[in-house]
Formats: sequence, structure tokens, C-alpha cells
Amino acid sequence: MKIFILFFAIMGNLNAQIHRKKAEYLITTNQSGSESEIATVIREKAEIKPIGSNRYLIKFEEDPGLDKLNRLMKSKKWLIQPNLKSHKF
Amino acid sequence: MLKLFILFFLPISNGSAAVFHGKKYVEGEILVKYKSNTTPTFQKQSIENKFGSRRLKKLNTHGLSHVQIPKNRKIDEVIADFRDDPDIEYAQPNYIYKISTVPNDTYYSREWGLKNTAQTISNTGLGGPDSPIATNNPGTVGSDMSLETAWDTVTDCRSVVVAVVDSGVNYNHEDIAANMWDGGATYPNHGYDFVDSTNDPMDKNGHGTHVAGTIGAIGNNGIGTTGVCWRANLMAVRAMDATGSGTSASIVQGIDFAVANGAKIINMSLGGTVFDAAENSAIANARTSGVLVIVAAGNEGTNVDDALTPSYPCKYTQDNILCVAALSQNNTLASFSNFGINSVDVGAPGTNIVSTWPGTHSTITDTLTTGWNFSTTTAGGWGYKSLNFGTATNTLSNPTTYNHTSAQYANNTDDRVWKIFNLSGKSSSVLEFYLMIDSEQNNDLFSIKAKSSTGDPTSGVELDSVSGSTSGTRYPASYDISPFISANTSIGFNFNSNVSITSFGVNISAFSIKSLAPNNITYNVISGTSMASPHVAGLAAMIFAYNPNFNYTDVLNSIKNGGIANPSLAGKTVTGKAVNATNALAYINPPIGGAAVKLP
Repeated sequence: MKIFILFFAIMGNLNAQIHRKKAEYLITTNQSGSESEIATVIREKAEIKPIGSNRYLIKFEEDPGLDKLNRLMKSKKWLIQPNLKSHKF
Repeated sequence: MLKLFILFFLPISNGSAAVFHGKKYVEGEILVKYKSNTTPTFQKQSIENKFGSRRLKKLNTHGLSHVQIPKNRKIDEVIADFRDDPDIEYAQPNYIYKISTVPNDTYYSREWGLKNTAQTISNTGLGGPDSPIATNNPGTVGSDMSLETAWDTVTDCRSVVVAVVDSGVNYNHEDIAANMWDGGATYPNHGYDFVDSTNDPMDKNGHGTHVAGTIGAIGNNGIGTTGVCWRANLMAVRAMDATGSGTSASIVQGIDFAVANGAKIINMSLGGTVFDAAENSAIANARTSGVLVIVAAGNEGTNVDDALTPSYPCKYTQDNILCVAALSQNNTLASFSNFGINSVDVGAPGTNIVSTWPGTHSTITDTLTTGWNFSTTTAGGWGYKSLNFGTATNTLSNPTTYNHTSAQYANNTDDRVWKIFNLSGKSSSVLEFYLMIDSEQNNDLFSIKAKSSTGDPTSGVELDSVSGSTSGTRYPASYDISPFISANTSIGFNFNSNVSITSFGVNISAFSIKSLAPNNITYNVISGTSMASPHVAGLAAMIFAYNPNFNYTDVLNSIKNGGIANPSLAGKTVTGKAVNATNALAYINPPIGGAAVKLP
């Protein structure tokens, strides 16, 4: 499944669905894992950047989708989430 | 000029001032209240039996005496001994009180949240880009945080590091520089930038500098504004870019940095509508380190507790989070402020807040009618097109026959359009436009490109690439183009379709570039729950400074319990209260052995 980003919060439009080609995710490896191990597991071409203990920012030029990443990491006790956007209030 | 009319609680001839729990008192003197079942004679004898103390005066007929203690005895020991006496109701230092400490800062009279005189807030002379909102301007006398009396107790919060996790801070600003955190040789610019991963957290938006000034602009220095704290220890943590947008990664790193480098308070005037496990975890880690996190409720005017309209971090459940709603100048919940009886704790001033700003702004508004360079592989690619969005609007459209009903773009396009802009002298620039798109998802891509030299920016950096549909509405897009600032900044749009399926295409309207030219003398007036949160963060710093042994729970309790009941917050916040600095400080300082007493 592709990541559909809903812009309703900004646009007030519940139907608007556009897809971004690039995507970023955070992986928390819980005491195990390394950049090379992550690269092996996710298979896709990506930039992997450590951002603190056991946490990595993964940048994809082409979004593989969260479902696929979850499947690839199924054997690992890692947590993955989109690199979510926040905004000034 | 600082008014320093010192009134002594009692007429003292030769006592000098000292400090007890952060508050001034007359050295060598205490007040003692005996229980009502004791006689005056007994009271006098009892006093003299304690270290040779002497009753200077019987203050009333209810057992309150003014007592001189021996010079060689410490006041806390003497008070402790009196307190242990079962015949004594309470004993306390002979505190020194002052009438209203008023700072002399130029724009203090516009800081209604600190002192509301029903003044009309204007932006005259501030130099910033924004104007005040007219609603409830002016407001109501006295609808403020009651800071002038609180400043009698605390103005210096330098013992408490407050991290501003935001768009950075102009740490050179004339009214902030001396109140910045000292990061030593490792962090010479008073913090860190987790957007660009550098040690320079300079603000490229303005939001963070405004927030920082509300917490701790230098007070009583004769210029600008005053913060809630006159002296502060502000850590700049840049987690949002020039557009005012941050990510899980930048914010989580910012929180971790603040905790690791000694912050006691983190202000987060930011948020989103999606639960962020990494952010939630970082705040939980901050809790483990005893760090208080003050957050803004959000500006959608909705109920945060509603599953359809959540706001995070406000809605996280850690007990080290205090979520703040915005009050307007007449002491009512601001129309834009989120609320929530389970999530939003208190209200604080949040409309027409005057504070520091990192520079002046300028805007290039493009008419989308001239000067663009077109390179299209198919006939009828990019072109100027006037469309009706309620009013006639100039757009760049692909195809040139765009009408969002029937005309469709061609297959196999590689259509490009770009223009050169002079952005020299700017420290940051943000590209803004409205985008309407209908294209084959994942295959027919609209891309935004930029580079810092003249010519087609296709060879430059791709800022974004999207496909799909905005379903007939215009999506407001914004991009930080600061890395490409030059005299020949090239901004372009590409549209690439494949061999199959076409749709209505793409159009761009309301194109502008907003830029910041930095200086250290600008101020601005803006509104939002972002502005309410730092008022409370400043108050939290005052409380921590006043009692360094307090933990975050003590500070939260002081703020919540010291608040003033506010009808507009009843049923909409956890406490139903607006924060009040005087009460919050009084709450944590009950007379020893007795009941709480408000400061005058």
C-alpha cells in the first residue's frame, strides 16, 4: 500500500489525496540493529542516518510504502513510523 | 524606570535584608502566632525561653508577635524550633514587600498578557510583518497573568535552562542575546539546529524568536519588550524550518538534546494531528529526567479530546506535559484556540502578543503573467492561464487549455517552466503557492525544482515530486528555498507524464516568495496558542528559580492550583483556570507551620 498523505487538516478537504514520490521513516531498533543491518533488511536504496541511540532516519527517493517496510522488518523487533510533520501553532 | 517603593510589613529601624526560600526578609526578626488558648503572658515568656529571643511588639490580640532572635542563631533553625512548639500556630520570617515591580522596556505597555490596562495593541514601530487582530482589542483591565506583583518575588530565572524547541532563535537579538544559554565551545551558538544538522540554530522563520522573547526577553533594560522572566537561560533548539514545519526526527532530536544538556523546561509551540510514537517516547524520556514540557493546544478551534480532531503533543498522557490554550485580551478563550477537558490544562494570553522577531520581511508576489521560461516537449504544455476560483486568477497551467473538466494533458511530456528571482541579502526564503493537480498516480509527476544559479533548475535540487489528485481544490504548498538564495535563484516546475492515462493536469496560482533579512532590533505582534505556551513556560521557570528543590510535579501543581477560575475555560480545560503568576508563586510558599497566604 502506498502512503497517501491526507491534507485535510490544512485544506479542509477530506477527499484530496496526493502522493509524494519521496518518503522518510524513523526506525527504532531497541538495542539491536545497525545502519548496515537496516540497509540489509529494507533492501531498498535509501539514505540511513542515525539520530540518537537506536533511532535512525531513513530517506527514500521513491517511497516503498509502510506496509512493505513492515513486512521486511517482520523478523526484527524494530519500530517503524513515517517521519511525521509538525507545524508551528 | 524601576519603581522600588519598599514597604516593610512592620516598621523596622535597623534590620537588614536577607533571603529565605528566595524571598527577602528582615534579618534577625520573625513573626510568631500563638494558638488562641494561650495567654499574652505565657506567649511573652515562651518567646524569651527560646534562645533568648525577645518580643519586640504584640501585633494583635490573637497571639501574633513580632520577635527579635539572637544574632548568632540561624533563622531557619529558630523558625523550626518555634514550629515544633505545640502552642504555636505558625512562625515565619518578617518578609519584605514591595509595591508592583514595573519594568521600563519600551513596549512593555503593549504586553497586555503581563499587565492588561485595556490598552489597544498596535504594531506601530515594531518593524515586524504582522498586524494585530481587531477582536477584543482592547480587552479588559486586569485580565492578565498578574506579573507585576510576582516580579516582586522573582525576576531572575537564570538558574533554570528553558529549551525553545522551535524554528530557532535569533540569539543576537538586542533583547535576547544576554539571556541565551551558554553552550560552551561545543555549542557556541547557544543550541543546535536539527533541521540542517549544524550547531547554528539561527531562526529563519521568526516563530521561535517570538516564543523565546515571551519567555525571557531581557526585562527592565529600557528597550523592546520584557519576558515573563527578566533574566533567563534560553536554549535554542531548531526543529522547524523556514516554513515553520518540523519532523518527527528533528523534534525528537531536539527534545533529546534539551534533556541531555540540562534543560528543566521544554517549550513546544508546535504540533500535528497524528500520534507520533517517537515524539511521545522522547517526552517520556524527558519525564524520566524530571523535565517539564509545556505545549500549545493548537489553533484549529476544536476539541483535542475528540477522536476526529486530536492535537499532539497536547494529547499525550505523560504527566510532565502541561497543555496551554490561548486567551484573548478580554479574558475569554480565543476563537482559534483548541480546548479539551481531558487534555488542555490551563489558559494563558495568546492573542496580539508583542515579542522579539529576527528581522524584516519582504515578499515577491509573482503575477504569473510574464517572465517565465517555457520548455515543453508537447504542444500545449505549460502556459499562462486565467482561471476562475471565485475571482479571475492568473495561473501557470499544464495543459494550457486546463479547465479541470474536460481538457487533458498529453502523454510522454517533459514540460518545464522556470523563472529567476533575485534573493540577494536574504537569510531565508520560503516559496509559497497553491497547487491543483489531477494526474496518474505514481506515474505522471509534478516536481518543484530549485538551484542557486540561472537557467533551467531541472539539474538542481528536487524539493518535492507529487502525483494524484487534490480533488478540485487548491492545496497551499510551501518550501524552504533558503539553500538556493542568490541574485539568480532559479525556481521551476516540471511535469512528466508516461505513455498511458491522462487527466486534467496541474495549475499553480498565488505564487510568492517570502524572505527574511536579519537584524537584531525588530519586534512583531502575532497570535496563537504558540504564544500562550511560552507565557506558561516563563512562569514555570520563575517557580523553578524560586524553589530549586521543586520537581516538575510541584511546578505543575503550582501553576494549576494558582490559576484563576475562568468561565470561558470551564468545561473546556482540565482546571478551568487562567494562569496567574502571583498566585502560583504564593501557592508554593505557605508560611511555615501555617496556611497559605497570598502575596499582597
